Amino acid sequence: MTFIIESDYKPNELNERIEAFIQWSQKYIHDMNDTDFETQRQSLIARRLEKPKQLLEYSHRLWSEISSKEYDFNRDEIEVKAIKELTKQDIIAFFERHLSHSSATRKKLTVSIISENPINEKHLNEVNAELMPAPKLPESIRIENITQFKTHLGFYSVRKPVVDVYANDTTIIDDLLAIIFSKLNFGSVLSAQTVCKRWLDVSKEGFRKVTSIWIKDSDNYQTVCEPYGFNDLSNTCVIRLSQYISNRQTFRSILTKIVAMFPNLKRLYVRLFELYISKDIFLSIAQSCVRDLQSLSIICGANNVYISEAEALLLAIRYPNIRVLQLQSNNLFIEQSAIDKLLQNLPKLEVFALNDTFCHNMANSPVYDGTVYRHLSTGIKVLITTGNILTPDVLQDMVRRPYHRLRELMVHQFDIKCMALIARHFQSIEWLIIHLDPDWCSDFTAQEFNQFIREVSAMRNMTHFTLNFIGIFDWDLDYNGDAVWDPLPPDFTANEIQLLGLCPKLKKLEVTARMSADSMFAIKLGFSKGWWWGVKWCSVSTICAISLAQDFDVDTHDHGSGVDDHQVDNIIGDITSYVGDLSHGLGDIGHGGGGHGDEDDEDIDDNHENY
Amino acid sequence: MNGEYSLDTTEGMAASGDPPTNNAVDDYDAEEALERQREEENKIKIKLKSFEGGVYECGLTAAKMSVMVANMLDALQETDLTKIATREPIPLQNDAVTNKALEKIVEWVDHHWDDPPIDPDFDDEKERRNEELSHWDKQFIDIADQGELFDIIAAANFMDIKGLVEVGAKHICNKIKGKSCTEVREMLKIHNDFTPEEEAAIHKENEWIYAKD
Repeated sequence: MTFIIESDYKPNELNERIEAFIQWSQKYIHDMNDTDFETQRQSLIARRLEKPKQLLEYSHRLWSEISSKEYDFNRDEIEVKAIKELTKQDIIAFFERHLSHSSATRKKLTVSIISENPINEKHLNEVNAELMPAPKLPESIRIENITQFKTHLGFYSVRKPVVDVYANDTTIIDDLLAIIFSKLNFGSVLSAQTVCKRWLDVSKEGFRKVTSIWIKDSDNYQTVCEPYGFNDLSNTCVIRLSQYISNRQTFRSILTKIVAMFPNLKRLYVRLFELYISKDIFLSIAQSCVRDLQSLSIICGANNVYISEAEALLLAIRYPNIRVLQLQSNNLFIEQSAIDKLLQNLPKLEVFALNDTFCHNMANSPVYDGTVYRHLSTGIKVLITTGNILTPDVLQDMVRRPYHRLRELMVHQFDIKCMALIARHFQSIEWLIIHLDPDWCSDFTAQEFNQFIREVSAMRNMTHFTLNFIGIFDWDLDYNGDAVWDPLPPDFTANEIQLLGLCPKLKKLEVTARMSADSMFAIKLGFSKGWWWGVKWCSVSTICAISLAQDFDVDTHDHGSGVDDHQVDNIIGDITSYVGDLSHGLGDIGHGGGGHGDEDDEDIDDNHENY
Repeated sequence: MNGEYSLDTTEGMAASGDPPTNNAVDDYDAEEALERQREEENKIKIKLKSFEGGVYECGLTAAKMSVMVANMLDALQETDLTKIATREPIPLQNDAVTNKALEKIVEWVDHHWDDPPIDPDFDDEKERRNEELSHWDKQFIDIADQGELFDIIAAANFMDIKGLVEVGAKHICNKIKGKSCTEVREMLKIHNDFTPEEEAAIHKENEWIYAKD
C-alpha cells in the first residue's frame, strides 16, 4: 500500500494524517455490514475480470508480469478465485497484521523530500479542528550505525516465479535442439523423445513441419529412379527401414505409425528394394495417409506386383489431389482397367510414372489396347512408361488430344519405331529419356537407328537427351545380369551425333552406347554449342580418346549405371595398357592430322557454321 | 530425370545442370577478383564486444561470416572500409555471448574465413548428414565444459554463423547418437520430467524401432 502526498505542511504532520487514515479504515471495515462487504467484493471481482480495452493496457499487464519476474500470466483468474473465498474476518486479520499501527510485524518506509520553498509551520488540527486524532506512535530511534542495523534485518522474500525460466538454463535452446534433431536419423530422434518433455515437444514440432517423407531400405543410391517433385530437403524426413523390421512386424502397422507422426504430409516416397513386401505395400498406403496427399511414389523390388482394378480405385478415391504418382516394381502387372480407374479419378495428375524397369517377363504382362491413355490428364508434365504400354496405337490415340504441357517422356523398353509419331506430335518435350533393353526390343539395323536419331533431332524444344542401351557392356548388365544383345545393336556414330547437333536447345547428352573414338570427337564439337554431357560408358578405346584430347573434362566417376570405383580403376588400367597399341592412330586424330579423323572434323566444322 | 520438377512452380524446369556458358573465362576472373577482395578485407580488423564487455579483434571477412555482423556493417553504409576498424566495438547483446564464447568464435571464423561458400546444389541429404567434421573442427569443438559448449553454439546461433552452428550441432549429434535416453540425460544433465507411465507409453509407441531379431 502506497500513499503519495504533496503538500507544504511539515512531513511529520502529513505522516500523522496517513496514520489517522489507516486507523479510520480499519474501523470502517470493522463496522461494515455483510451486504456492503459483498458489494465491495463483487465490484472488485468485476474489475479484475474486466477485459483490457486497449492493446496498450493488455501489454502493460503482461509486461508487469515480466518485469516483476513472477510470470503469472493467469494472475486474474487465480486471484479472483481467492477473492471469492475471502471473509470479512480475513480482511480484518490481514489489516491488523500488516497495516495497523499497533502491529508488531508492520513494515513501513517513509521517504520525505523537503522542498526549498518555505514550509507551512502550522499544525494541521489547528487549521481544521474536525480532523481525526492521529494514533500515538512509539518514539523513533535514530540509527547511528547503518551497517549494524542492516545485519539485524531479515530477508524479505519475493514470490517464486510461476514459470521457472531458470530451470533449464544450461541446456540446449529449442532452436538448436531442432537443428540437432534434423541431423539425427529418424530412429535416434524417436529414442530422444523419451529424454524429457521438452525434447518430445521439440521433436513433435519438427515432425509437424515435415511435408515429405522418403522411406528407404538401404543406401543403394545408384539404383534407377530419383523421386519426382522433391526439391526442398529442409522439410523432408528420410526414414530408413532395416530388413529385420519387416520380418518381425507387418509393414502396414509400421507405415501407419510413421504416417501418423506427420500430420502435414504432402509427399510420400517409398523405395524399398531389399524388403520384398509384395503388393501389401500398395494396400497399406492406400489406407494410411492424409487425404490431401499430393505426391505418392512407390518403388519396390517386389516381383510380380499385381494391382487390381479395385485397388487402383481405392488409391485414387482416397487421394483425389495427387499430382505425382509413381509406381514401380519388378514385373508390375497393372490391368488396363486399373490404369483407367487411376487416370479417371486423378484429374490433377502432372507426373505419371508406371514402370517396370527390369521387365523380364513381358510374355505374362497384361495386354493394353490403343486406348490405354484415353483418360490421361492433358495437364500431364512428366510421363514415364514402358514400351509395351506406349505402342504406336496408343500414340495414335494420344495425338487426338493436346498434351502441350508434356515436358518429359521416359520410356523403358522403347520401340524405336514410335519415335516418328512422338517427334511429330509432342514437340513440347524437353527431356527425352529412352532405355533400350535387349530382352524386349526388337532388333534394328544401323539404318533404322540412324532414322530414329534423325527423328529425335527433330525435337525442337529438347534440352536433355538420354539414350541408354541397357546391358551393352559387360560391366553394365541389367539387374539380373542376363541382358544380352544378340546381334549387337548398331554403334552410336559421329553421324548420329551431328544429327543431334541440329537440336537447337540441346544442352545435355547422356549416352550409354557403343561409340568409336570418332564419335567422341564429334561430341567434343558439341561443347562449342554449350553441351553439358555425361557419357555413361563407352568402349575402352573411346575412353582413350577422351583422355588424350586435352580439353575434354570427363568425370570418370560419373557412373550412374552401377559401376563402382574398383571397376573404374580397372578401366583406367585397361586404358593405360591400350594406349600403347592405339597411340599411333589416336595421336593422329588428337593433333588434327591424319586422314579419316581430319575429314570428320571438317565436316562438323561446316555444319557448325550453319547453326 | 534428376527430380528437378517442383510441385510448387508451374514452370518446373530447374536451371541446374545448365551448360558452362561461353563467358566462363569472365566468371573465373570475377571469382579471382572477389577472392582477392576478400583477402584484402580480411586484413582490416574489427572489434567485437561480448555481453560481458570483453573486446575481441577479428578480420573483416571472417567477422562477416556472422550474418548478423554482416547485416550490421551493411547498415552502416560505410564505403571506406578502413574506417570500420576505427569504429567502436560491435556489441553482441545476448547473454550466450560470453567472453569465452566470443574468444572461441573469433578463433573459429579466423580459421574458416576463406572457406568456399556453401554450394547451394550440395543438397543431397545423405552427404550433408554424413559429412564428417574436419580434424581441426573436431578439436575445436571438443570442449569439456558443457555450459561453455552450449554458450558457443547458442552465441553462434545468435550471430547467425551457419557453419559453426552446424559444427556444434553435429558434435552434439555424435554425442547423442547410439545412446539410450538414460545415457543422454546423464551426459547432458537433463532432468527426466516424465512419469514412469508416460515414459513407458512413449517407449511402447516407438517400440518397433528397437525391435531386433
